[in-house]
Amino acid sequence: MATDRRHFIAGLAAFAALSPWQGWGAPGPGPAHFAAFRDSVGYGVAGLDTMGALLFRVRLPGRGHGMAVSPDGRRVVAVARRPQTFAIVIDVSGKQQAYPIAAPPDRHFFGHGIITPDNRHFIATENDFNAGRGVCGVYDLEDNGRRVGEYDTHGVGPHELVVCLDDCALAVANGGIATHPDFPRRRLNLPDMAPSLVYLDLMSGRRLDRVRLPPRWHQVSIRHLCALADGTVWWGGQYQGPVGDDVPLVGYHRPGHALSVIDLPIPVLRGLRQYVGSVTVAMTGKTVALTSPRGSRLLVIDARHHIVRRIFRIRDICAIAASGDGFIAGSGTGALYTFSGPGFQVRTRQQDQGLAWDNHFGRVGPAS
Amino acid sequence: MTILKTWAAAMALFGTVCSSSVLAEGRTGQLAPPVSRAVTTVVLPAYAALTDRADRQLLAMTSLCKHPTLEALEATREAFGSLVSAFSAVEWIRFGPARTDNRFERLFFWPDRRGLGRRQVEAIIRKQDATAIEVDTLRDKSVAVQGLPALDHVLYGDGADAMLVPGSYRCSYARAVAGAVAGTAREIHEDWRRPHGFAATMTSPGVGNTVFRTDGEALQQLLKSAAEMLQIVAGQKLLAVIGGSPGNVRPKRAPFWHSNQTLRNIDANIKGILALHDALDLEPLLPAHSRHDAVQFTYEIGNVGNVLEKVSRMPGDFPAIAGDPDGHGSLKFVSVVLVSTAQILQGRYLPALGLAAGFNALDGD
Repeated sequence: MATDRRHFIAGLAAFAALSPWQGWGAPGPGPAHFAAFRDSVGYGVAGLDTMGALLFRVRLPGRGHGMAVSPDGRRVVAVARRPQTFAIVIDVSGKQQAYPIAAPPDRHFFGHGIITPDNRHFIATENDFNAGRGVCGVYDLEDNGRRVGEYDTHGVGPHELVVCLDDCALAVANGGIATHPDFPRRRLNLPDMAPSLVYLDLMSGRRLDRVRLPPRWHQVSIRHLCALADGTVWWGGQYQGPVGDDVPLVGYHRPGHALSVIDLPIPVLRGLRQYVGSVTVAMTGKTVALTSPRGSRLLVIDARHHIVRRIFRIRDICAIAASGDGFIAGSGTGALYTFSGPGFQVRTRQQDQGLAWDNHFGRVGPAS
Repeated sequence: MTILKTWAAAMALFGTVCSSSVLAEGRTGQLAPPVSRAVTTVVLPAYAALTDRADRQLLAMTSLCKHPTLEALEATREAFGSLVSAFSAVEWIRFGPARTDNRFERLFFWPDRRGLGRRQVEAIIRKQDATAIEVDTLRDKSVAVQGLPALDHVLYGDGADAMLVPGSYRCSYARAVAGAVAGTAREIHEDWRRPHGFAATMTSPGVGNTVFRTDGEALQQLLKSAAEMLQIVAGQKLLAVIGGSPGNVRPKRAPFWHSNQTLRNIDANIKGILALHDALDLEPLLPAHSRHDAVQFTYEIGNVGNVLEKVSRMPGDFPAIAGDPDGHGSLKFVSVVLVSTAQILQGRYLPALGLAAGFNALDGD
């Protein structure tokens, strides 16, 4: 096993060379966004500027998912899609060789992580699959990504996590779905799902709060999160129950309150096809955007009045992040879109056909 | 009022970016007949058969509990075998009415990696739980104690002899499980066939249909589920059980291991997919260069059938066969072929019909 792991890590290192995209090298601002992609060669991570121009790419040994970006913008950790076990630490300047982190043998990554406000630790959601519980693995980026600790997420199947509450806490979306690497594609506990949103003390991992949806929505898996500067955390979910059901897929939580849902108009809700793939908040903090690749929808929601501001229909859209006064989004067809101005005017930037953007964007800078 | 306002605002703003292509349009019009054939000639009859076998199981169990003779036990076990076959033929249908109220898991809670069902069933029998021998109260309990794996356990597991003791608690519990299975099977069947039921939902897609907007989406659902069934057989019922070598068999991971009906389950799973494939008859709709895929699929599945038949004639139970070098090799071969046939359904047919799912829409993440 030890030999296997060494080989595995050595193999990963071979991938981890940062190469400039065609024509990159001109002086200018560094990358603002990072996203996993697939192209004709395989999988990788790309760095993009605010307008979506490609700056560099790093090859990955498998499909990537979320991006953990350090607040100082110097590092990004590309996290493997579940149930893989690698993450790649990339020095954005390209000066230091990228290096891999491997999850312990009895854990795998769930696809998301964050880098702590002090830029030092990488914290990722992981599956303790033998015990059937979710954990956050804590890795020291100043010590070659050594795993230095673990927090219990007090739930099953944690997915996205975000830093919140003035950088003091982590909000973790416990999706509630039990999976095991021995049973790929299987959700092992649909009848007993109990998703939750849990707050952990960032420094100690101590549980600060746990909130749930009412029992009738226990199959709404809370999976994606974004944190607003005012302490509100927005969530996006996917539904594991019957396909015709109309259930909430997006909502928010204010500390000390119950978990809330947004009552989307039924036709809008149905357009999401029971699946929200990504949520993010604009830098203004006034609007939240969410995407549904299954429904090919992008919604912009007023964060204060909770009404839908815009609906866009874009095939296989998923990755989304705040950019300028609006958003930037990427699709599985390889297209990038920017949304700006009071009406979220859209501009399309088509990339080469062979490229597909994966589910998430990571962004340099504070949440909102 | 607020909702109305939001609605209107939303509608007014709708569709600023009009995508050039939409989900699952496929070859609209041509895809309706295959879906309709699949529903009427495969799905509905298969659920009718399941309901019938479940009723027979309940009858056999009732008479066994009344007159616990060896013959009655044999008849009940035979009825269970037919029930396993009938269920296995619809096991691939993990969508629609089977999803409501966790009905699928109520019938078949598997995989059960931690032996939850076994422990819960044993606890019920040990405590002689009075609420577990009435169908209504049993159905409020854990899904793991009211389905086919529970019957497998009570009819064949440790202590099954107690079924022959007059007035035994075990038999009363088994009868309640048979009743719960029959009830769940009937509910699924009814929800498919009733007016405006799921059969109608699947065969009349459209804007007002909350589940399927196009025939392509309905066909996508059928092919995806079929491919998933083959992958589950290959990966979870075979590879995860037989291990990398004959010495690494993990027999208790296999479905229906108490009654040694693992191969029967697998065989009926595959035959169910073959029946679907035949009914869909997609070959004429495929572009010329893809038609070979349909021939390939039938050929490969035929091979699998032959190998499974040969394997089922080997002496010993499933773990013994899997532990024999020849048997192990054959089962491994079956699993490899099944993965490639699943790939034909999902990776070849869907794109050829213009129904490939998007990169980000593939698997829940």
